[in-house]
Amino acid sequence: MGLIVALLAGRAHADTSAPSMEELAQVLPGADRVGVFQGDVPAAPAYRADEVVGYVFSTYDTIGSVGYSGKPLDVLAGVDTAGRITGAYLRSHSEPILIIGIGHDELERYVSAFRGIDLTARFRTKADDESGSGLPDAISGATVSSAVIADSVVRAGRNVARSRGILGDQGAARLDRETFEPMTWQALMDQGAIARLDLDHGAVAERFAGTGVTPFDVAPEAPFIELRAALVTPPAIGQNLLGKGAYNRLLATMASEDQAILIAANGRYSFKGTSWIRDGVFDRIQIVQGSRSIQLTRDMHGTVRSLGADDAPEFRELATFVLPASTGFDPLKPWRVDLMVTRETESGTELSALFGLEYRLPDAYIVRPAGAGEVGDAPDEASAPLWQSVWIDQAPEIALLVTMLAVLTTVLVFQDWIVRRKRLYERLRLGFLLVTLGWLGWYAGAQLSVVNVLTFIHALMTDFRWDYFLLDPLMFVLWSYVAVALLFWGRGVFCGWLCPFGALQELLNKAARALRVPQIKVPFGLHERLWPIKYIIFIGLFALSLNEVNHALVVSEVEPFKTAISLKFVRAWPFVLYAGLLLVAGLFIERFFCRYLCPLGGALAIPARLRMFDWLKRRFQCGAECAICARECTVQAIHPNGQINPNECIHCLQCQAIYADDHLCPPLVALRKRREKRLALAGTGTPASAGDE
Amino acid sequence: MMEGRTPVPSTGRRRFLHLFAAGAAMLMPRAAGAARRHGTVEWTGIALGAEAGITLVADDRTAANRALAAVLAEVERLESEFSLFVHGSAIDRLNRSGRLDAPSLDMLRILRLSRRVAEITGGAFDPSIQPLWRVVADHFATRSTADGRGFEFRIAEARQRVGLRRIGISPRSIRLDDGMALTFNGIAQGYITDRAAGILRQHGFGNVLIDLGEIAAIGRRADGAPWSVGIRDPWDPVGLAHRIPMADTAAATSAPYGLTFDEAGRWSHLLSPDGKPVAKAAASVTVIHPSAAVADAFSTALAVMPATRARMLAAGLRGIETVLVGPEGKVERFGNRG
Repeated sequence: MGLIVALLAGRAHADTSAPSMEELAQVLPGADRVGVFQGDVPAAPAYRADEVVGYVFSTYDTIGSVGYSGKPLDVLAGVDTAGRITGAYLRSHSEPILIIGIGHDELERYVSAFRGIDLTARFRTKADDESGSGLPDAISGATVSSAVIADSVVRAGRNVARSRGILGDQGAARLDRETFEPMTWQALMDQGAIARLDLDHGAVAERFAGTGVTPFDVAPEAPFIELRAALVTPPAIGQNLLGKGAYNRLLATMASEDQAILIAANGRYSFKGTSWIRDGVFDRIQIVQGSRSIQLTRDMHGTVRSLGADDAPEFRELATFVLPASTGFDPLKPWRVDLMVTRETESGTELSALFGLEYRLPDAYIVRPAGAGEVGDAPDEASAPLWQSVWIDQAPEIALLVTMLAVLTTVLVFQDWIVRRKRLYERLRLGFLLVTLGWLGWYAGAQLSVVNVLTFIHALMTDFRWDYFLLDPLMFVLWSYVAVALLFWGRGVFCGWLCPFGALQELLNKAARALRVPQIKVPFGLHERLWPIKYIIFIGLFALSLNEVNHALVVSEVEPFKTAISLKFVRAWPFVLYAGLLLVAGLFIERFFCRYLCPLGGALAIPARLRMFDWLKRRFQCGAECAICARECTVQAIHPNGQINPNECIHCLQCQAIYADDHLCPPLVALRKRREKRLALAGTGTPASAGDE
Repeated sequence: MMEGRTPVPSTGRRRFLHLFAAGAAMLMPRAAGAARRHGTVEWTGIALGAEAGITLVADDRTAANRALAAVLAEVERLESEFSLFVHGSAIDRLNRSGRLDAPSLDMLRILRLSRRVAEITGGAFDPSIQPLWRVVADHFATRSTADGRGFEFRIAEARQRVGLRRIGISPRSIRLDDGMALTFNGIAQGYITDRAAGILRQHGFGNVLIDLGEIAAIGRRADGAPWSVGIRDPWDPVGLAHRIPMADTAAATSAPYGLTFDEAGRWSHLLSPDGKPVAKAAASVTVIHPSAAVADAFSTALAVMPATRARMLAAGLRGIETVLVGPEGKVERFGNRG
């Protein structure tokens, strides 16, 4: 229940707060205590009787998991020391389909089914899960959200497991002390093998601002200290920097597990100071690694006269320091040099500040034994985003959709030719609607919704990222097509051909007419005044979403799409009743929902005003002498004056079929009759030549 | 490891500063203006034996997490320098053996700063108060000796072993006389807060709010406003006595009556180095200064001083702002910031 409350409160983000005992019991059963979240890959150790039995992690904190909605999606999960998921718990999300539609139980069942999944197995998504690791089946109707959850748990879990040495490529890594290749100073700098800290007098003065220290007597831009530091134990760094002779002499003073660093500086400030000569301890620098402080002493110090690298700058101060193994210094882990700067106040007291030079050894100097990192670890896993694997998984569906869109485009481009062949047109239209409803809607679940529009606008306003939208290839392709079609022909291309709910209404109405269900003709004056409702709904939704997206998601249930298409009527009865009522209304008033209520139609009609082509043909007699099209129009989009209202038109081409029919369209009928009369009078003549004029 | 420790040492100071950071993050999506908004990354957890929090104005969550991890490592490192509760910490070794060779720069800095504040406050702040503290803590923990004379005698005896001037401080070693011991409980939180700020700055985060017992506010909130910190009403657990906007500065609060030992409230966790319980200037003392360590040390000193002397000192401190909150919630302010 806590979950729902958290959802409706619209929790903006998850923080790495300690999990409660209930959460712990859910994600890592058997643990009696949980520690603090920490590390580059944040996770908290969980204990049973003071022994670490696993780690608890938040997918949002570890990998920044984001749902299909583009909003944070946070799963709290646990991984044991053998690399198995011990439990998972959906902490927060803003997935529209999951907020309303999918039952809480189903969601819980899905997320908790991650328990026992072996992260060491080689798989990424359900599709490549051949090793039988047992990824739970996606929640029907929410496949994208399911994929995001699965990907988050698996990827974050692996990151945590790897960083904690569970997937076993951490401990085996070692420093490369063998490889040598000539490198210049500049190359080592670029690589990060030499780290720098440049301080000018201004930066130092700023740190002492407001403390009353004596101001510097030089310009703020003048260098205070230019500090360089490097780990010199690997020959590829040490020998290049120091020169072969000096490097070998340094190694000779070191025990096998000792490490050596080089510190060099230019500028006014000395990092060595003088106290080391007197006290034997350097009092201006220290080495810090994690929670370890290492004081540098005279014993560690080695004098360097000049550097061996040809392009190395001249340095005023140079020194090597040998860090004995007893200091616990680990060359593979990041470390820093703390530089203490002491300044005197006008009243004669001394104040100090610390500046840090951060050092991180480049990967090139770390040897990972062959085989390490291979366990269940596809090489591209860290970099390849989830959407790519989703597109590969869904390639057949994408191909089918593209085919469908190609057919539709053909119909639109050759509409004049097609509408003249009435049977072809009718079959094409019926077939297309069946595919839209059956395959696109019910099978593939690709029903565009006003929620997509709201999400898109929000993404534009906050941080737009393509990957959110790429997560669902069918929706992405469909939206891209609709966006273009909108500018070419108007919103009707979607509404009349690609909307599964629209197709459902139209097919049901066709059936109703076949069964002679009487049709209600809404008087045009009233009809016209009902049109704005859908725009009002859309604007209301949009306004609501500015304030609170989740509320807008609730209200967007005005759309029966989720009930009728995504969830195929398997839903709580009020939703089913609502969708049913709309469909029943559609039996008497064709496309009742489209005409008056659909906020998506309203949303699409607004940008569709920019459309470029008007391919729907009219005659000057239309409206004045004849109103057959207006009567037959599926959505009564034709004004009594004969003009087609493009805001309402669903581009079904019905009026065009009538326009081209010389048995229906009065001007054509008249022409045909005249021609037949002429032929009859002539008595002869070749009927084959009697085409259209 | 931090998580292995029993939290909240009995002498831990209560939190008297209250943050208004959360609001900034929650209101973000509604703020008008900039098209690309900055996010906020928040960390909460246990540090220094109490609840702690850090708020970063950051777009890159990975970088923020890396910086936070570095801060936690630094906190852990400094606890192993300054915490009396960490067995084998530098201060623990110093107190046991009377000598610490090759002290860290941090140990040198905190001692030098302590010596300076001790001079300015006439000894009201003094980390060598530890022997005196042990006597008071033992007395009220066991309540074994009901007779006041034994207690008075032991106080007088312990006072002989207090005095920062008698400590030898050099990069080679720190040396204590026999029977002397140090506590950094009146300054270490501030020092660690400063270091946390320094680490975050080093990682490129210039807009940060740190609450590690003392509060440091660097830069501004995500919406450009200064950070806002409230001083809790000493006698009302939910009320606020005063609010301070903070940018690029730090605040530390000491409350003499935060943890009292006797019913009269004469003895509390804050001790005057002369070993005499006195009438205090205020129920809580907040000091604002760019350095949290300085603010911490001065707030400790002002909290244990007799009322008149504390007010005189507060009024005379340059660059240091002091906010005294009286028992009835009356707010007095002294000095000004830079």
